[in-house]
Amino acid sequence: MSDQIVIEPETGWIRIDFKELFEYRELIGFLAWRDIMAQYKQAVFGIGWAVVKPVFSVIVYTLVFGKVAKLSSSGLPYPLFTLCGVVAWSFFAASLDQSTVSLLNNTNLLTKVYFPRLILPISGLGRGAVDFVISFILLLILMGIYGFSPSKTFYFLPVFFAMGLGLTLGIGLFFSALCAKYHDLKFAVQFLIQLWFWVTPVAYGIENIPEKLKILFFLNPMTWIIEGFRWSLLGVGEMDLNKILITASFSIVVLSGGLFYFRRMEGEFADII
Amino acid sequence: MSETVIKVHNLSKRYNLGELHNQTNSFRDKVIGFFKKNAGSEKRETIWALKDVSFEVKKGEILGIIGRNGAGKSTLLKILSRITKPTRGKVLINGSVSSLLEVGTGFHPELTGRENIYLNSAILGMRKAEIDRKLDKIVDFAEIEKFIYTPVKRYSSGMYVRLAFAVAAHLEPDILLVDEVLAVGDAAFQKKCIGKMEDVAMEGRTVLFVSHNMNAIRRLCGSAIWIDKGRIAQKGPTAQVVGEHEESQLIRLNDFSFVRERDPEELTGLDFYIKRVEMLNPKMEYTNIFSYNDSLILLVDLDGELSENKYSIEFRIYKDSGEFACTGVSGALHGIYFDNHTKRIKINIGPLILTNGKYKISLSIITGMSRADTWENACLFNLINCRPFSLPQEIKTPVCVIQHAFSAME
Repeated sequence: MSDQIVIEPETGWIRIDFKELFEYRELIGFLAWRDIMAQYKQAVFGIGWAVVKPVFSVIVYTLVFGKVAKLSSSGLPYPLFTLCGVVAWSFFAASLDQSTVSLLNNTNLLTKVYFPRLILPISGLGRGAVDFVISFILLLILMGIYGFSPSKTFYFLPVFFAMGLGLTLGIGLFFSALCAKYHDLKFAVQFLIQLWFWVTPVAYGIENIPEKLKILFFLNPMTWIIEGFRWSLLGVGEMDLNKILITASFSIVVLSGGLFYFRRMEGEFADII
Repeated sequence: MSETVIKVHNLSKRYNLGELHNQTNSFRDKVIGFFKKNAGSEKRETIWALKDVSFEVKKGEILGIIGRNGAGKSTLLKILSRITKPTRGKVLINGSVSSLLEVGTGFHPELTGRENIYLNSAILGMRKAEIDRKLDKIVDFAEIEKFIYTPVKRYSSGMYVRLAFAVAAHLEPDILLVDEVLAVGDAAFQKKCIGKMEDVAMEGRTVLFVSHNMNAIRRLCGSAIWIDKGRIAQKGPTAQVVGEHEESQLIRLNDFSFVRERDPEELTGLDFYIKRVEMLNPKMEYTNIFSYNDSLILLVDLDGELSENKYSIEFRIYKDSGEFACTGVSGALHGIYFDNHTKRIKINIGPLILTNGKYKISLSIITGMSRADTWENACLFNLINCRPFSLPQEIKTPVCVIQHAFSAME
């Protein structure tokens, strides 16, 4: 590591230094590990919360949407349908939330130590990732109970996962940079996430959406990501190449936008946070 | 001929005053403000924290950076550490850099000592393999073998500092940037820290050391730069630079007033600071002349907002020639920490077993792991009537251990 370091004023759009990010990969792991340990050491059930949360959500949604509102679930058993949606949605919501507050939660590091700042939002995904893995295993168990085996479109799952991650991380990066300056914007993001839940068919089938509102739901990229998630795992719903390509392009654009905006504002973080 | 490892050229850094005083981090307030006043009529006040700073550092050099509070020393280190970007100018660095701007950065209270060693080391730039290798040495240096599996929130402040410094002490960068981190801890620990810095120096590493402690600077640094109001006032061999800096302090300080107010220039960028000090005798009369064996009382007024819950106060007494005489600190020595609402503190120092002469007192606020504020030469006093030949015990002046007591006043 004896390249020359050059320090000078930076303006405008800066390239992303992937090589440096790779050099600091261990730190991403350590920070993610720290967040995970800290959360579960303090929790009553410890790591059990990762199971309790999705189970509880599924019970509530099945009751409210399935029994009370009597919505349909594209021909699947309601709990299974819901759990699939919840597992995906929870991860994306967590990834957006965690990346947004990643800078605010690490003010002390930002003002005292050097490392590529992108490390913070990326490591912020760690906690959501652990919760995801645990609840995904739960999902597989539930599938087994209902006698479902993964459909032949299973290999599309990582694609939809990546799209959702790219989209939420891109937005998260944008907001994390803004939140460094305006701390109260994190509440706006939390509100946005809640609002977004209501325009995404997470716990009810897409067929339930009234004609007049369809355009609203269809313009929401997360609708297709969640649908795609369900489609690749359980084989229901409509998915075609067009929808995949459009949503993927959108995610790439949002992610790139977020990355570059973050990099551009990076130099000021330590001064304004 | 040693190669140049750091080259600083015309470095300048400008801050908006709003940023420094952390005006508003609220979007809501910003929007409201936009509607309230006539938008755009606000002047944006800026301040140059550093202006046209240029210097070079050779490999193996230990460079001291001195100056009053608010002069720009920490800003310089921050830029060299790549934590903040310069407004103008350029820096070229050849070699790996580690910065110690704070001790215990990133420590998490719920994690154990061992876990925090890994975390802190990684944050400071060590690879996991390296940490595995050095783990035992770090635990050894910190002297906390029995407690490494206990969560750090249970540690005493002394243990915390030892652990934090132990990690930092085992960094092996080519270039080390240190910002007054030797401030905390008890005397034995500080001695250990200085010793370690000396080892680092002997290993041929380059060190940049910011401090208010002129003795440490004299002892460790071969050369020094004096920064005043963002510019380099002087650079060269330590003795010369430190001498001139102290002289300038004395010149502005022929002020033997009993009540001394802080120079507002020093307050830029400080959230919590010492505002005023009064010097009295035990009968609560203002004075600045004390006889041998008398006690001295300081009433210290602080101001501002402190984000931490509590803080500790330190005083240092120096002879006017700059030699260090004695010190006392409420936290590390007595476990007395003041609540952040306490703005007035009484320090009772004495009996004053010092030799005759002029003395100056420096005051510091210590929070957590760092010095929030240091007021060098806050006040002066004269000590008289010391008769060395008629004393029962030998005075090992000028350094001595002096009795003192701290208390909060409301």
